[in-house]
Amino acid sequence: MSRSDSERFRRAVAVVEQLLDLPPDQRLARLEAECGGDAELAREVESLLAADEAAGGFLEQPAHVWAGAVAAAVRAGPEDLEPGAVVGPFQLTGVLGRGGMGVVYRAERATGGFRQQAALKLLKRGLDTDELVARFRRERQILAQLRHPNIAVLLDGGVATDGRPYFAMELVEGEPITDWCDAHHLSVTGRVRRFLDACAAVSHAHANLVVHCDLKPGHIVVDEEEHVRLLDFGIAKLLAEAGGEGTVTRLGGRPLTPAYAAPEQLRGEPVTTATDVYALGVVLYELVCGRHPFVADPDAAKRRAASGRAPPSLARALTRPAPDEVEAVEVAKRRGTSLGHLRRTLRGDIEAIVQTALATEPEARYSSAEALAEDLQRYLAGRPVRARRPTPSYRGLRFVARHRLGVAAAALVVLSLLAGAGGVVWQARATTREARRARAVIDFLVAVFREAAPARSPNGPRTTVKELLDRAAPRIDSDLRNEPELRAELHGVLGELYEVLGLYDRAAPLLEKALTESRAEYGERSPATVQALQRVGSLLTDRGKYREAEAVLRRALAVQDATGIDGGRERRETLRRLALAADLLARYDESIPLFRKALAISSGSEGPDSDAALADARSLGITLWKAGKNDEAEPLLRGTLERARARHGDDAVELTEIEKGLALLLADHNRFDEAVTLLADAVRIQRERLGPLHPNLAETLDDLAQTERLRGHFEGVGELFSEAIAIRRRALGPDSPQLAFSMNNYANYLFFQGDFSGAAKEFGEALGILRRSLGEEHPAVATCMGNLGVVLHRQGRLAEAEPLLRHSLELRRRSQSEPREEVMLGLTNLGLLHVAQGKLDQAERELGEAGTIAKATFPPAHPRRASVEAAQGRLRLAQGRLEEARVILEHALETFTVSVSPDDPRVAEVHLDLGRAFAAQGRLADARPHLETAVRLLAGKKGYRRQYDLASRWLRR
Amino acid sequence: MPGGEITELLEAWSEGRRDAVDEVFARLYDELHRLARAQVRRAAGAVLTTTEVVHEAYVKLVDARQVSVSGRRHFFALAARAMRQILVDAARRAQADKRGGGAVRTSLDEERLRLDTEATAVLALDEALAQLLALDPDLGRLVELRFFGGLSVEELATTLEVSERTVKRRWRMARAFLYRELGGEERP
Repeated sequence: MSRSDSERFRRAVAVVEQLLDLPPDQRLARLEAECGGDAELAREVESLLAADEAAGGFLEQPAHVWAGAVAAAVRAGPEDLEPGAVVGPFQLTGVLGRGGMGVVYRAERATGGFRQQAALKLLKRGLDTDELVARFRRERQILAQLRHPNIAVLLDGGVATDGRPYFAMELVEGEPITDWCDAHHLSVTGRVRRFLDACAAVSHAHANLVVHCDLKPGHIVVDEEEHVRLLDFGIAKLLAEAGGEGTVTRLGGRPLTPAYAAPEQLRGEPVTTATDVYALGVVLYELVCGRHPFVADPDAAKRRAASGRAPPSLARALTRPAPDEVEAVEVAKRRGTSLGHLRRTLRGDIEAIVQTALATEPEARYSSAEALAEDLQRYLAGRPVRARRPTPSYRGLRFVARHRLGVAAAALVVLSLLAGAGGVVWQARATTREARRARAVIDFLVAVFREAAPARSPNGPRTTVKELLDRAAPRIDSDLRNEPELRAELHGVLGELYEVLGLYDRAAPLLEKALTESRAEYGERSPATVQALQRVGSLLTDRGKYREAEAVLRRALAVQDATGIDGGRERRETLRRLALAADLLARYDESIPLFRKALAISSGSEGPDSDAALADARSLGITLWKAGKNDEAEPLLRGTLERARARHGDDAVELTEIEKGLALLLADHNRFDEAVTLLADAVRIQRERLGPLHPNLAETLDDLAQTERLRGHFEGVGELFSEAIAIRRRALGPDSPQLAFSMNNYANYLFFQGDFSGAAKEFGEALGILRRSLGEEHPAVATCMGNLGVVLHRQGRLAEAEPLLRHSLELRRRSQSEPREEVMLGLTNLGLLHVAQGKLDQAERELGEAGTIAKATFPPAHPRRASVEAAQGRLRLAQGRLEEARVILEHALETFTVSVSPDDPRVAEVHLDLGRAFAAQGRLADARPHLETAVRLLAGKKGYRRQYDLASRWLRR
Repeated sequence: MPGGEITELLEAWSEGRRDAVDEVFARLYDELHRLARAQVRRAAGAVLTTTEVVHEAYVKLVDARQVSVSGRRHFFALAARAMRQILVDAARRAQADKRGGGAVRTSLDEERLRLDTEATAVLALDEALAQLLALDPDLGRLVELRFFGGLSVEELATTLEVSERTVKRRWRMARAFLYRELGGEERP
């Protein structure tokens, strides 16, 4: 049934109603008028009219049934069925228990010559029963094939004669794992071992893309042969997701067991593998310390969902006063140990493991049941556990995209990206409609992924996440031709996934489609369109198209303002992205108030110490610094750092970004020592927490290397750069822009060391990568190109340098607005080249413009301005305007003397030029000291041989 | 079952708390079924009418002083749906019994035939109604309320907050569709 059928029907009804008001002879005319040329519509109208005439007394009486079979059936059931009753192929033989959802019977079926025992759950009639049955039919194959020694097999399911659904599972007689371990007085270690079996089962199911979503001790039982068996796999999810039409039912809504539900589940968001990890965490918690992490009443659970509180430590939970719970001493006894010993055990690594599994944000948890199991195995073996480190964020990890994995693993990565990475798929899905859409998205992707997996081979062909996404993309258009809403949603989701993985080229067309489709389906003023605009804007920012990004994001903001759509998280997100774009365009008078607004929202809604507020404060600090407002920026960043420390401790990853921001600020003001200290600390934390291969570590290493260089400490700088480059190459791939940035920075370093050929090589490589990955127009391309040009100039390859410097300048002109520092730099470099080439008129124009910008942008004693002056000085020298040259050069020298290190080649060059100026004026006595200084500074300086020789020659005159 | 609780749940649903719905439906189904059964037993040989059952349930379960207009509306919508389900489920059982019961029809049993037809008719109507709900949810719900819920034209007008004339006209349209679907008229 498509939307157009529905529309046509309603239209037809409206026409018929009109016609019925008219006398019969006028009807035909009106019919033709209303239907236009639409023959189908006309036919529908006519047939309805005819039916209306013929209907007579049809259905006039409300429903009634004669005392007959139906009435008898009404009278009879649906009772509890008696033993002996037949449901599907099963015969009921007894009652096992009663639940909220229905009765569980003991049953058996005759199959292959023996009687198979089963536990048959017969569900009560509910609103969602039809949907449930339909879903089950679709999922049945997958669920029935879930075979694992620790999973109770789903034997069959279907619909009983009265329409009630039933599920028959392998009959497992056992005790919940918690009770069993208590009865056997199992130690903590022993319990963990048993628990590992449960993890294996969950892991297996996840690999087959089946989520349990109602894990709890009652579903993790130990049978008579002491095997751990998991019950009800997949059923709970079906039940939770079955939704009736219209607005009536919760969707993934009230979880079946609130005490074990993850926060996102309590909020009604769709469940994923991370949800199961959470539930496992709760069970582990109980197994280990005999207590539930939160007092197990539904209200507490809801409060927890709202506040995102972390659970108390195991030791604390054990010793909390708990009149309804087992005594702490008894708990210890049931673990075969003393209270003191148990407390000590609970303070060990097991605490870290449990806390990680119970993290509020899905992305902060173990990424899979397998990861949890691995850490538990490390714990048992006495090896260090990973738990203290948060799992690395997947944002921007291209290696994830290109890493070859088994299909199921790749699919799991995608699903965890959906669950975890901020902003993807769903944030707070407030309405059931949105939740339903989100679930439909997952269903679609899962279906595509399942097809990619060959039948039942655990080591099937390897694929990459990218390939899975590539598979899904064309299917959206082909399979969902008649479902425009879902199509729009999937285009948006898939586009964002590509973006997160750094595959911008693939992301762009999908996000554009999502926007067009959202507009068509929902109109301009709708949350879906706002989100689509945000995504497009975010991608544009990533690609360096800041102007366009800004336009798009402003539009999103305007819609949000006009419609009052979501004043909270979404708005903050848009404001942030807009602010970022403005910041990258160096429009600080805009970025500052925007970040302030974002900060107001995040502090107001999540608290001033929340992670969101800290991030916003940091961004604000950085943009203030860039705008030159250090009076505000520095205290803000310092304050934010303190807050982050207070909240997360000294070893937390959250500190590193703030440390880096503050370091940038300090370095810019030549306070290198403290900057280096901060960066070194950030490196330490990242190495510990993120591992030696993490891209974020590479970024910090890069920053540290550059800062050390600026400080004038060259020892070890080369190694830092090399490490950064190696990490980025390995983790992000050989085509990554970040890799190119590191190469660029390394090349800068080489340049300052005088290794011009090394620098040229690195710049060349970096430029190639940047052009390929970011396109010709990206600002970074302009910078790198300019750098290469400067090096070539130094190497004397003037003809090669010129086109590069020209092009770089042009790009800079095109991409920037005020202040035009990049343009000034480009002009200076080109001007210097033209001086060297003798094209003095051109140099005059270029350096003139550079000078104007410099004056407008920098105070008189700023080193950047002095650089321009030095260039102008050289020009005047070449033009023979010696007095002017002298004045400018002296001024530049003054500035350099106080603001840059004496080792800086610029100083030596100014001395040289100044010396030549004096000498050309015949003032040899004045020339001498400068030339001597130049010679001294240039002696042994690699790469400056030419200047050195020049200075020496002049000196000898 | 205390009247207050159902009323509260209905109000909660009005305020947007979605999880209240399932709870109400489940209870309504049970209660209506109980009442229907009692009615069949009482009036042996006579007719079971859903109107009476639904209204009886209303009186029993809802505190008329506390319930709001929308609460009332929700009650009848759910009750109508539950009533429909009860009849449909019963019809299915009746058909299954006939088929799987093991009894063999040896003669043209007119009584049996009529009973058979009745179950089939209920099921066919249910399916046609499902179609209508997909094409035009408002019309579909109107049918449920009137036919299964047994509300009169006046009651429908009050509950849906439209005029009686509108109710009548819409009802006519719904009926035409159903009549056509059930084979009363040629489909386009």
